[in-house]
Parts: sequence; structure tokens; C-alpha cells
Amino acid sequence: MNESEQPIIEVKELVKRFGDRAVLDGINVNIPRGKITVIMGGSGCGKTTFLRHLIGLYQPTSGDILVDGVNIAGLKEKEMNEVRRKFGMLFQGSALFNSMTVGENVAVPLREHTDLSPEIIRIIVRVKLELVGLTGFEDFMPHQISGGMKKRVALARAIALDPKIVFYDEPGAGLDPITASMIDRLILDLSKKLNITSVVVTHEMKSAFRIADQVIILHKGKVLQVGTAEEIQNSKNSYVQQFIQGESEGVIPFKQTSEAYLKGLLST
Amino acid sequence: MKIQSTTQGDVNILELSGELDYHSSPELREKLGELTGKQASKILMNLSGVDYMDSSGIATFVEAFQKTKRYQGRLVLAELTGTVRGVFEIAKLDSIFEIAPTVAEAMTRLGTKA
Ligand SMILES: Nc1ncnc2c1ncn2[C@@H]1O[C@H](COP(=O)(O)OP(=O)(O)OP(=O)(O)O)[C@@H](O)[C@H]1O
Ligand SMILES: [Mg+2]
Repeated sequence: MNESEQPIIEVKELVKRFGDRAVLDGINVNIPRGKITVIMGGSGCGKTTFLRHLIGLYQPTSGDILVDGVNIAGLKEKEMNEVRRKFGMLFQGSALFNSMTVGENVAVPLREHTDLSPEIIRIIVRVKLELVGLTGFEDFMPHQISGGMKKRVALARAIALDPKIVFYDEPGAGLDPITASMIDRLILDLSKKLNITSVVVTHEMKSAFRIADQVIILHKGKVLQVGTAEEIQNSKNSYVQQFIQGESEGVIPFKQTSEAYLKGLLST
Repeated sequence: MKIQSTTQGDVNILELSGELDYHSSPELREKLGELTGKQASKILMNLSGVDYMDSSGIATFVEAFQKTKRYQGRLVLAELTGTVRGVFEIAKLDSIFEIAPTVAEAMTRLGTKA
């Protein structure tokens, strides 16, 4: 296997328990390099927890996570920071610094992690803001722009250092359709033109099938199915079918809740 | 990254090889700063050996481009590899810069025989 075929992340027998409950229950999956992987599954199935393991925010109870061949399970914080330089992250809630302008927010990682001159940083900031459709907003304060725009600023900041892998947790959630599809477009562009790997957790079925090279369906802490968008859409697995159809009507989350609710009532 | 600097007639040629990233781009900035500082009228960048370029690389070119424009100088980029072209395209700067497929073509455009 040459380097371009080697998965950028390999997850082996990943288990995470909170108390005695296994939220991730033996996950085996690869994230292919330069491709877009979409993670889907019902609410509470462990998507966010899984993502947090991939970026080293959580330590697994057991199992391995290899990033470019380096096992990040059990890695010390200092070594983890080295690995994290390859990562960009766009999480729910944009978390901009309210006392800084839009441009200064995007510049933060560049100031912290490089010795680039202010002039060069300024140009990079403008390029990144153009990428997210925010040319001209450099000197605005966060409170002067909309929620969708804040999300885009956060994305510009996430890609400021040209990460090799970008992680997104529900990037389109709560956004207007235009902003959401702009983010999809950008994820596709980064992958096709710069060979950046994307890992995207989403509930938006349409968006998922539009951008995904690989779809991972999680269910009860396990990988239920992995495949291309087409393979998942044509899946013979009844839960996968139910999930795909139910998601647009919001059936699954309710059903899950009531199952868990009944089980909880009966077990006490 | 390696920078080789030569002249051919009135053209200043910089040939880059290796990775143009935020570790190495300050060195390129310094070289380009020397040229634009003395208002070099024709600068040709041979990028055939650049196998990786990040945003600081493109920003360095943008700055040099701005400076050459101010004194009516010309900056021509030649022989972009696929990934380097990708960086220009994604930054939507491929149409702003003067980009030539080959060094010979760039020399012709600059009015100098290779
Ligand atoms: N730090 C924690 N301590 C205890 N339990 C946790 C913790 N983090 C997550 N959980 C539990 O793990 C389960 C999976 O949560 P997670 O946030 O990963 O789900 P999710 O798939 O991202 O859901 P959603 O689609 O609603 O965002 C949930 O039942 C949650 O309550
Ligand atoms: Mg979640």
C-alpha cells in the first residue's frame, strides 16, 4: 500500500464507557485519505463522542486510533498537540472571541502557531474569508454579523493553518440553506482541489449524500454499515433504510427515545 | 525548500523546489522583497519543483504581486504542479496572477528569448 492509499485514520476496537455504559462499543473503521467521510446515526448513538476521540479530546476506554500511523490513544497532551496541528475543527456553536474583529478571529491560529509577518497573515485572512464568502467583513465585530456568518468565520479560522483533516460536527445545523450549501461546496472543494480529508457528522440526509465519498452509519455504539452514498441508499439493512427515510420525518429519534424510556422504566 | 536565483537578460528568475509552507515562505518573502525593493521589472517564478504549497506561500506571492504592480513591474509564475494550481484555484487567484505553462512561454511573454 503506498502512502496515498493508506487510510489517514484507522480505528481499531474502539470502546468508550461512561460509567458502566458503553457509548462506543467496539468500533472498527478507516477514514480514507483525501476523501469526505460522513458519519450518521440516530440522536445519542455516539457520533459526537466518536468525533471527539478522533481528535484526541477523549481518551478511549480501550482500542486504538492511528492518525498517519501514530496511535493517539494514550498520547500525552504535548504529543497530542503536535498531531492536532494537522486538524481543523468546526464544532456546534461557533465560539468566536467577541472582543476581536472577524479578521482577528481568523488570524488567531496563525499568530499562535507561526512566525509569519502581520502583512502575510493579513493576506491569508483575506483569502480564507473569501473562501467562506465573507470578503469585506474583516473589520466587523462578531455581534454585528448573523449566526450563519459566524459559523463561516469559525470555518475560516478552522482552515487558517491549512489542516490535512477537517472535522465538522453538524456544520449545517440551524443554518439557512444558502450558508449550509456553501459549506458543502467548500468541503467538496477542499477535498477535490487540496486533497484535504473531511469527517462530517450530519443529520442532513441530502447534504450527506451530496458530499460523501464514504458514509458510516453508527447504531448503539457500533458501526452498522460503511459504504458509498449509493450503497447506503440501496442498503438492504432495514434499520439503515428506516433511518434514511425516518430522518427526514424525525421518526427515529422519537422512536429511540420511547424505547429507551420504556426500557428505563421497566428496569427500575 | 530550496530557492535558486538567476538572471537571464533583464529577467530575474527564482526557481523553487520542495515545500513552500509557513516554515519556508519567510525566506521566499525575503528574496522577493529584495527584488521588489530594487524595483526589478521582470520576475519569473519557476514552480515546477514545488510539491506542496500552503496559504502562506500564496500570500507571499500576493504581496510580491501587489508590490510589482505599484511600480509597473511584472511577476510571472510558471510550471505550476497540480497541487500548487489547486491552491491558486481554491483561493480564486488563478485568474489574477499571470501564469505560464512553461518557463519558455513565460520568457516569451516577458519579451525575452530563453
Ligand atoms: N461526558 C459524558 N459523560 C457521560 N455520558 C456522555 C458523555 N458524553 C456523551 N455521553 C452520552 O453518550 C451518548 C452519546 O452521545 P453523543 O453526544 O456522542 O451522541 P450523538 O450521536 O452526537 O447525538 P446527537 O445526534 O444528539 O448529537 C449519549 O447518551 C450521551 O448522553
Ligand atoms: Mg452530537
